[in-house]
Amino acid sequence: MKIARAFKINLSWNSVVSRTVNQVVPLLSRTLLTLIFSASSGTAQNISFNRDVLPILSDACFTCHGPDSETREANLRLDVEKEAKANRDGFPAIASGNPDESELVFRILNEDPDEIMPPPDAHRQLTDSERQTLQKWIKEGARWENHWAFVKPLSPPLPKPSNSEWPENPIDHFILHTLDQENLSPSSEASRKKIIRRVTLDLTGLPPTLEEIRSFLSDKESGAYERAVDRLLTSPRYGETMALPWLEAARFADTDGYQFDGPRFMWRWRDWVIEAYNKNKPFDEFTIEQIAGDLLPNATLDQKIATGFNRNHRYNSEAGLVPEEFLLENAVDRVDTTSTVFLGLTMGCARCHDHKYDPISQKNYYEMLAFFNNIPEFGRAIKAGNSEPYIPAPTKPQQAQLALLEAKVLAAQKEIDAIAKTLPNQQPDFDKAESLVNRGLNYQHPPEVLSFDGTQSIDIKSVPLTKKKNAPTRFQVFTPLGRYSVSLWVKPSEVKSGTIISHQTDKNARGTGMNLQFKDGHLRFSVITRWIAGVAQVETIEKIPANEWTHLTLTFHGQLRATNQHIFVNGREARLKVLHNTNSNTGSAKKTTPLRLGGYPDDYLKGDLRDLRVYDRPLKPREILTLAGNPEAKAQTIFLEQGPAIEAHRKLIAAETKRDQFIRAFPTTMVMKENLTIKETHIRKRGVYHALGEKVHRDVPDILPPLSKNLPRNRLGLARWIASPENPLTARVTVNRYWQKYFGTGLVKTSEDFGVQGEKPSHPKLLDWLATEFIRSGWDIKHLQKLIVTSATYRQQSNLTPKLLEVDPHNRLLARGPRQRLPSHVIRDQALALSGLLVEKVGGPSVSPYQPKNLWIEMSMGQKYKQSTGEDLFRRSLYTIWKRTVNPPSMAVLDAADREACWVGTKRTNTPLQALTLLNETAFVESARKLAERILREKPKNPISHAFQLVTQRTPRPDEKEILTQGLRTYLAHFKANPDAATSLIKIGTSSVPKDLNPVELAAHTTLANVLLNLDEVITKE
Amino acid sequence: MNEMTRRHFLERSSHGLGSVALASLLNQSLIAERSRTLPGKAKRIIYLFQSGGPPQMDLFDPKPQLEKFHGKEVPKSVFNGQRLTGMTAGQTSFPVAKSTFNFKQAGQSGQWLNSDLLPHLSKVADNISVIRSMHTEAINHDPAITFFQTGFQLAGRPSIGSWLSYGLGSENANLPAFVAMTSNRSGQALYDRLWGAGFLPSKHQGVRFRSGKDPVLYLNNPEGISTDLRRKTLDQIGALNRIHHQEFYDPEIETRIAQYEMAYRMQMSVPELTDVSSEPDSTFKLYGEDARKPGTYAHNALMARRLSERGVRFVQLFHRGWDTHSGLAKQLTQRCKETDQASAALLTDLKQRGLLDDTLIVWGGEFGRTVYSQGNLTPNGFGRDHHPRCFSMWLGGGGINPGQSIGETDEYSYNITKDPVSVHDLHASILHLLGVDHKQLTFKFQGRHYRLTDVHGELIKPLIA
Repeated sequence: MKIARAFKINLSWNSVVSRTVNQVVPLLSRTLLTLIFSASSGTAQNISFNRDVLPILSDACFTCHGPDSETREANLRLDVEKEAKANRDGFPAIASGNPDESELVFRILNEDPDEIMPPPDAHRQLTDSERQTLQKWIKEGARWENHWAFVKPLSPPLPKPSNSEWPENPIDHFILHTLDQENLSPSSEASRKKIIRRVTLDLTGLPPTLEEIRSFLSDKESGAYERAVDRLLTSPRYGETMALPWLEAARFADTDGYQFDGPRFMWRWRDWVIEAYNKNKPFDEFTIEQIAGDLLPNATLDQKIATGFNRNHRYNSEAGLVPEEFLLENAVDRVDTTSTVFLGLTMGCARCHDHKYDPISQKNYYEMLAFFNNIPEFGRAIKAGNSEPYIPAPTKPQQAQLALLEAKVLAAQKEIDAIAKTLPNQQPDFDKAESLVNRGLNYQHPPEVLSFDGTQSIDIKSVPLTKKKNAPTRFQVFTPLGRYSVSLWVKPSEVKSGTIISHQTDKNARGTGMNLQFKDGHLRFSVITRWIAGVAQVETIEKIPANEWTHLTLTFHGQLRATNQHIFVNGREARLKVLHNTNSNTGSAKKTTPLRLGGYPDDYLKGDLRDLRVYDRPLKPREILTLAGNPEAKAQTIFLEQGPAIEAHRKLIAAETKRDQFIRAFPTTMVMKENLTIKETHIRKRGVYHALGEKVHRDVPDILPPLSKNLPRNRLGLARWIASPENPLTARVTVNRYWQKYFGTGLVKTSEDFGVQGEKPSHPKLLDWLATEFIRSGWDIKHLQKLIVTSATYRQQSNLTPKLLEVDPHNRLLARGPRQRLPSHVIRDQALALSGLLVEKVGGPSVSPYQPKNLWIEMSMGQKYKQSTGEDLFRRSLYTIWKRTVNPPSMAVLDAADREACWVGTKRTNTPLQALTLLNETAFVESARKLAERILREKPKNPISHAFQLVTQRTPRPDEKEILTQGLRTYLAHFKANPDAATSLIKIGTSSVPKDLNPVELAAHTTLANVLLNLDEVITKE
Repeated sequence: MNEMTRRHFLERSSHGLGSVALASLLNQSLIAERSRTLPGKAKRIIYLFQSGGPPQMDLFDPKPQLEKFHGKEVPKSVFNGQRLTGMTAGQTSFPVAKSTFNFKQAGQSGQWLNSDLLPHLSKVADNISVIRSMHTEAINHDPAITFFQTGFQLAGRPSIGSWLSYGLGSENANLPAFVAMTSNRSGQALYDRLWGAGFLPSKHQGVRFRSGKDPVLYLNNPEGISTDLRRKTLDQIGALNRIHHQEFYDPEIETRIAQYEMAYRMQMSVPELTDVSSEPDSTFKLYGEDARKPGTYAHNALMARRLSERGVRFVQLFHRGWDTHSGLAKQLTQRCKETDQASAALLTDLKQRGLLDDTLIVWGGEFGRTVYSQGNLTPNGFGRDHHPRCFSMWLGGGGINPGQSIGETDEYSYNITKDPVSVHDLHASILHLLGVDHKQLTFKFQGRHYRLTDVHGELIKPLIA
C-alpha cells in the first residue's frame, strides 16, 4: 500500500519536472530508502532541529547555501526557514512533512554526480545516518528553531533527583539526571585530603600548606568544606589565579609583537584584573569598565586603566608599514577579542565575507568595528614603550606620595601669596628688571634683529655647556624623548613657506631632528626620527600674519608624542591639529648638529627674527607670557625672580621639580579613548584595508537583541548591551569558561564558539541554570565559583574505571571528579611553594625569572633578556615577563597560550619536552634542592613519608615508600662516591647553599625531591 | 581527535608500557596513511629560509636590459598603482639600479644563475628548478614571513612544518617531526610562532635546535646528575607512576610514563646527532670549514642532512640578513659567502647518499626587492626596498622536475609576465610532492575546517615530475 502510494507521488513528480529516464533509478532508490527508514525508526526520539539537524546543515551545506551571499549557489539559502521552504519552480528545498517533495531529499539521495548534494568534490560529505536524520526531520514537519545560543536563557526547573541524598546544590540535579539517563551513577566523594588539595589548587593556584590541611582535617563540624572554600575565596592568591585565564583571553603581554616586538607596559591593567577578582567586582561592572570605562561619567583612574583590555593587542612598529592597514588590524583585533571573550562568537569570519555558518553579515562585522576604530591612535606602534593613547597610572602608594608632594607645592605657593599680600600695590620697575626667565636657558641669541632674504641660513654651533668631558651640548636637548622650549620673535615677510628654525641631520625638511616652519600661513612643528615612518607633526589652526612681530614659543614634553608638542602664539597656547604621530624610533640629530636659523636650501625664511632662546625644560604659561611681553606676567615674574618672593619662589621650584620628577616616573598604561568626531567606517571588501565598500554605522549584529534606544551608540552603549541580562550569550559564555576552569572542558566544549558550528552543550539546562543564576546573583563571580566547587559533582573522586573509560573517556557526563595535568604556571608555582622559595607579593612590573642564556638575542633585533635577581626570580608565574615572539620557554612547552591573539580554550598535551623541562629546568631543580633542605631541617621522624606528604598531601602506600627508600639509598651511595657531583647539584640556582648540611645528604634528598616533583600525581589535579 | 579512545583501545588490548609507545607510533602511521593520498615521492623536507628578502634580479632573474635603464626613473606604467612601503613611499625619485654582478648559464640545463655570487649552486644547477614568478600579498617582514610560514598574514595559524607533523607524523620515535634552526647572525627578528602549532595540538610545534651544549631546551641533566643517576630516577618515577595508574586507571598516566622514556631516549640520541666531529674531512670540504662551527649556516645545513637521514620530517633553517635596504653589494656578497657552498653541498651530499629523490629542498625568502634604488643611487651605497610583486625561489630533489626556470617577469623584474606562483600555490605543491592533497589536510577550529592553503592553491604543474 505504502509502496504504491510512493510510486504515485514519484511518478507524478517525475512528470511535473519531466526528468530524463536515467534519473528515475536514483529517484526510486531514494523513495525506498525513505520508506525503510521511516518504518524502522518509529519509536526513536523525536528529531530536534538544534541538536540534530542544524549541525548537519551548517557543516555540510552552509558553505554554499548559508549566510554568505558571495558564495551562495543557486540563490538558495538553508539557514533561513522562509527561504528554505519557499517554492522554487514548483517544489521547495524543504517541504514540511513531505520528504518526497523536498528537493533537498532528492539531492542528498541522488547518485547522479551532477545532481547529488553535497557535490562529489565537496570536502564534507554526508553519512547515511545524517541523510536519514534530515529525512526524518522533514517527515516530522521540518520544525525550525532559532539557534539555541541566540535565545535568551530561562531558568529551567530542577530535575527531580533519583537519589535525594547526593545533590549538594542545583548543579547536581542536572548532572544526576543525565547520569540516570545513561545508567551511570556518581563516583563516591573524594577523600578529604584529595579534595582540599584539588580545591586549593583550583581556587588559589597553589597547593595547601600542611597547616591548612591539618586544620581542615580537624574541622569535624558540618560545613567544614564550605568554610575552607570561603577561606580560599578571600585569599589574595584567588584573584591571581582567576586573572591568569583572563590574561590569556585578553592577549596580555609585555611586548608589542610583530617583528620588532619591543617592550610595552600594561602591568597596571594586569593588576586591575587581579584586584577586580579579589574584590569580587560583579561581572557586569568588570565588563563595562574594561570595554568602556573611559566613557563612564567622571571616570576614575581605575576605570580608565581597565580599558587596557582592548589595547592589549599586538601593534606593529615596522618602519615600512602603511598606518591605515594597521589601524584596521587594531580595530579588527578588538572586535574579534571582544566578541570571542564576551559573546562566544567567531565574528572574525565575517571580516572578509558574510559569515559562512552564523547569520552575521560582513556589514554586521564593520558595524561592530565602528565601535572600536575611533581612538586617537596612529597605526604605528612606538618601538620601545607604550603607544598612544596612554596615561600615567600611579599606583595607590604613588598616589599617596604624590599628595604629599602636592602639599609641599601648595605650601610654597601659600608662602608666596602671603608675601604678596604684605606688599603695597605698585607697579614694579620694568626698566630695572634685567633678563627674566633664566632657569634652564641653554642658549640666547643677542637681541638684535636678524634679517633673512630667503637664500641662506645662520648656523649656530652646538658647543658643550660645560668644560667637563662628554658634557652635553647646548642643542642636544632636541631629542624626541627630550624636554625643551624655544622662544623667539618673528616678523615674516612671507608666510606661505619658510623654515624659522631647524635642528636636523640633513639640510632638508626630512632630516632627523626638529623644525618649525610656515606652511600656508600656519605654523608647523615637526619632530622627525626617521622620515616618513617616524614623524610627529602638529600645525596651528590659526594663521600667523605677515609683516608683523609675533612672539612664538614651542614647548615639548618629550616621549615621542605629538600630543606633547605645543605652540604658543604671543604667549597664548595655540589650538593645534596633529598631522602625524608615528614616531617610534628614537633617532635625533647629532650632538654637534648646529641650530639653523632661517632654514635650509629647500625652504629658507623671508623676514626678521630676534631674541631666540633655547631652554632645557618646558616653560610655564606665566613664563611664556613674560617672554611675550605681557605686563602682568612680567610683574609677577619680577616679583618671583627678583623681588621679595625670591626665596619662597626657589622653594616652590624645588617642590615643583620634585613633584614633576616623581610624576615622570609614574608607570603608564595604554587606554581606550574616543576621538571627538566619529571616524567614518566602511566595509572593507575582502577585508583589505584600502578596498572601501559601503559606509556603515555602529550597531550590534542583527541576530542578537537590538541596541536599546536608551543606550548611547558608542562603546559604553555596546558594553551595557553586552553586560545586559537580555543578552543571550554573555552569561552563558562566561559561566561556561568557569566550568572549563574546574572540569577541563566547558559544558560547551568549544568555549570560543557558541555559534551554529560550535559544539552543543553537554548539559543545556545546567548551562542555562548557571547563566540565569549568575545574572540573578548580580553577576557575582565568587558565588559562581563557590557553587561549582561545593557541588557534589566537583567533589567526586576522580578515579577512572574500565567502564567509565569505555563509556565516557572525556568525562563529559561527570560520573567522576575532574583529573587534569595542572596548567604550566601552577606547576611552577607549586614547586616554588613546596620548596619555600615562592615570594607571595601581588602585582607590580613583570619579572624575569631563569631562562636559558641568549634565547632572546638569538632571534630578536638586539633585545637581551635581563634576568631578575633576588626575590623577583621566585614570584608567581603570572608575573613572568611575556615576550610575544619568544615566550617563556618552560611555560610555552607546557601549553600556555602564546598571547598573540585571544585564546579562551584549554590545551593539555603530554610530551617528552615537558618531561625534560620538569626534570632539568633551573627553577625546578632549585625547588628540589630547597625542598630537600626543608625536609632535612624539619627533621621528621620519617623523612621519606614527610617528603611524600608535602608534595602529594597524602601518606605513601608501603610499596610507594619502599621504592622511595630504595631510591634514596641509591642516591646516597652515588653521591658518597661522587662528592663533587653533590657539590655541583646543591649549587644550582641562586639561593644560598646551606653550610650546616651535609652536601652528600642534601644532594641525595635533592634527587629524591626531583623525582617527587615529577610524579604524575604531583603535576596533576585529581 | 580521538586519541583517548585509541589509547584506551590499545590499553585494553595489551597491557604494559610497550603498548603505549606502540600507540604513539601507530598514531603517526595511521594519520600518515590518512593524509598521504597521493603518490608523492618526497618523504621529508629541508626548507632553507632566507629571511629579509633576497634580491631576485641579483641572483636568479637576470635583466641585461637594466644596463640601459640604469639611473633612469622607473616608468609610471611599470608601477601601475603599486603600494610602496612606508620607507620609500616618501621618495620622490625611483632610479633603476642594475645588478652589479654577472650571470652565466649553468649546467646542462643552462639555467641562468649569478656566477659571481652563486658559484657552488651553479655547479649543481641541474638538480634544481628556479621559480622566477613568485609573488606575495605582504610588503612588510612580519606579515610576509608569517604568510610563508602559515599561509596567512596574521599570527595564529599553524606553521607548514606543524601541518606536516600533524599530517604525516615522524619517521623517528626518538626525534621530533619538525626541527627549526637559526643561524647566529643578526637581521630581521625571528620568533617561536614561525614554527608554532597555532591551533593544532602543541606536540606538532617545531622544536628549535640551538647551537651550543643544550641543542634542545633542558635536554641536559643538571650539573651533578649523571646519565646513570638520571636513568635511576626515571625508573623510580616510572615505578611510582605505574602504581598510581593501577589506582586511577587514567591512560594519561601511561602516556606520561612513555613520554618520560622518550625524553630519556632524546637525551641519549640528540648529543650523538649534534656532534659532527665524527664526520670525515670530506664533509667539511663539501660544506666548507664553517660547518665545524655551531651556529653557522653551513653547520645547520650539515645538521639538516643528519636530521633528515634520521627521518625528521621537516627541517627548517633560517638565515637572516637579506634585508638590503642599503649597501646591497657588500651585504649580498657576504650572505652568499655564508650560504652558497653549504646549500649546494646539501644537494650533493643528499644525492650521494641516495636521499635526494625523497628529500625536497626549498630555498627562498619572504619577498623580493625593488629594481629601483632606495635612497640615492651610489655605486656602493645603494640598496633595494621590499618587493612583493615578483621574486625567485628554487626547489630541488623530492620528486621535482629539475633543470627548469619557471615563470617570467618583465624587463624591470617588477611584474610577472608569465605563470605567476602564489605562496598558496607553493604550499599546495610542497604538500603534493609529499603525497598530501592540500585540500584534504584540514583541522576543525572555531567551527571551520582550516587548511594551510585556506581556500586557495593551485599546483605548479611544470615543477612536479
